[in-house]
Amino acid sequence: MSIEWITVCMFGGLVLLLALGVPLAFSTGLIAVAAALSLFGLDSLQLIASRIFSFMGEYVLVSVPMFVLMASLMERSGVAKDLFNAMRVWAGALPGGLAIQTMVAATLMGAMTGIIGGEIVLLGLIALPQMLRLGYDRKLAIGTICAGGSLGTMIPPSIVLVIYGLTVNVPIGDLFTANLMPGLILSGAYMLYIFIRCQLNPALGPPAPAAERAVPLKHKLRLMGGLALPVLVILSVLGTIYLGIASVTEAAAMGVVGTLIAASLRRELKWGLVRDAARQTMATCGMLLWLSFGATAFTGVYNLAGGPAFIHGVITSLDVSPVVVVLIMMGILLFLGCIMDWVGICLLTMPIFVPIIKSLGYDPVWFGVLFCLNMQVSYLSPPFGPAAFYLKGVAPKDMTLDEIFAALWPFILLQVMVLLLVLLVPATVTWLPGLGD
Amino acid sequence: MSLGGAGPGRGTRVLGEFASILFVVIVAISAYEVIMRYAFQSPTIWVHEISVALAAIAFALGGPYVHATRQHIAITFFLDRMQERSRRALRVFQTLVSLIFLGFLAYAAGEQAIASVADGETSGTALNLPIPALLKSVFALCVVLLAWQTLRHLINDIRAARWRT
Repeated sequence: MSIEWITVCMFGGLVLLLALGVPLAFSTGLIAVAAALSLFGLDSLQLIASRIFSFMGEYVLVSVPMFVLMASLMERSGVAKDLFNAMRVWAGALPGGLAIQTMVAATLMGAMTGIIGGEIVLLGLIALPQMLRLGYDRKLAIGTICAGGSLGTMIPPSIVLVIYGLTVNVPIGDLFTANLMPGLILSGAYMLYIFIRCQLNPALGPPAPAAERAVPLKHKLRLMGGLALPVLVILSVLGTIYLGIASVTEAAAMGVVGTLIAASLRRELKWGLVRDAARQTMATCGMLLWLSFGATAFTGVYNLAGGPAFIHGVITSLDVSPVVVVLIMMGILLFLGCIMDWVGICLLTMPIFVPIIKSLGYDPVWFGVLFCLNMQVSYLSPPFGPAAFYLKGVAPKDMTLDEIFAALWPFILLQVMVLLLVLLVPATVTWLPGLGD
Repeated sequence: MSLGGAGPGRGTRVLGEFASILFVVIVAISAYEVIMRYAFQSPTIWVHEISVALAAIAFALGGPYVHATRQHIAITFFLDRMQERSRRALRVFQTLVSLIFLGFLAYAAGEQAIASVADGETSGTALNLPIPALLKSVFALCVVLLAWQTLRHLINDIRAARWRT
């Protein structure tokens, strides 16, 4: 069978199985098994098992449950709520102030967590009711929460970057360093958008009544104490990684320790809290890892069949400028982001895309940032944008999925604009030279 | 023992409980390593390898844990828009397809596990423990467990499809 047909059969079969509702982990695995059996015979199944074993044995991968555990503990303790409350009192009389402060809190939370989901749920529970109570435009409030909550994987640490780094063999520390600026640009773009919209039409984000705003400065400063613990955890995790004191995995484990200390200072540390957080970690990692197993099997078989060389040939035969190649890849990623989970996309496409990127003379770290930005879009894009589903789970009953998705378009547009900015101005990524060494 | 039930059964809870201990142990020994390295200048030789092994066990067990509650990510967009009858038929198809994959994977993983245990495969590091043999066995067992759960889902789905048509 020619590689053209193998490509069509494998990817076509995958899309078909996915559309029929077969779990992603098993669709990729089944196609891998079927292709291996028909192309290389029964013995080649060992290749699939071997690939899974070697994937499981990666030390960097241990950081994933650590980051997830840290986030789960953070969400279950009152640390995050304190953080939001500390920010909230500074909103003042500025139209849209509360939404901007929510975005600041979301960005700080993003620096504490490397996953999405919990943060959106949390903001949906604490920030959304506040904004709705003040009479905020519902769409603006929804967008703030979904886009802000998704920053978890954009502001380092980020398990998206961990998996990317593992897949294409790039140091995770470099990826974290590179992603910091684009993450802040994205969050800044959201804030600017909220600010401009509320300046043009203050009715979109009314400030709190004057009586409520009259919080004495002393009290405000005391609330700022709520920031101390999260900031300490952030600095200890990111600091150790950037300064190269400890490996990413150790830094993540120390982050868990820091979060546990923060919880115990708040007198919240109980075995039940830890156990529930660990259970959720188990569920999240189980899902993620088995997805990865299937996808890594798929790529392994496709590699053996000569797939990457074929795609490489097709792309170079297009005879277009390198930037266009990158743009095409971005288009493919954006499309896949609408129908697939980021882990699947990363493991299926990156082993093919990144060698091409390197041969075009681009930096794989920069491409990792682009991938991460792409996945930001995938969280919000209909029909499966997970951010919308997370929010729906905790939103008021009358808030439908359609309303949520309709509110996300401006934020998706902002994400694409930042994506293009990073694509056209790579300096946004490389401005922190040497820090990752 | 009911690991394949539709809801989180006792076996699933036990798995969850076990995993919490694994994760907490990883945190504890990693913290121990960092402290030993910086406060006492005597890094350990075992933390790195043991954390990888513990995490791998947790990852493997995570499959059956997630599967017990049918939480694996799937696209239900079209499924949700179907008639009840075709939906049930499609469910049978999904489970069957998953079972085929798991069957082959169980064969491959099982063969590797048996070979690894028979050879007494060790990690070949300073510790040189039979960790690879252990991990391969645990993984193979988890695949078998997944296949067993899926088979139970299949039987339930076929029953559901027959009873209500």
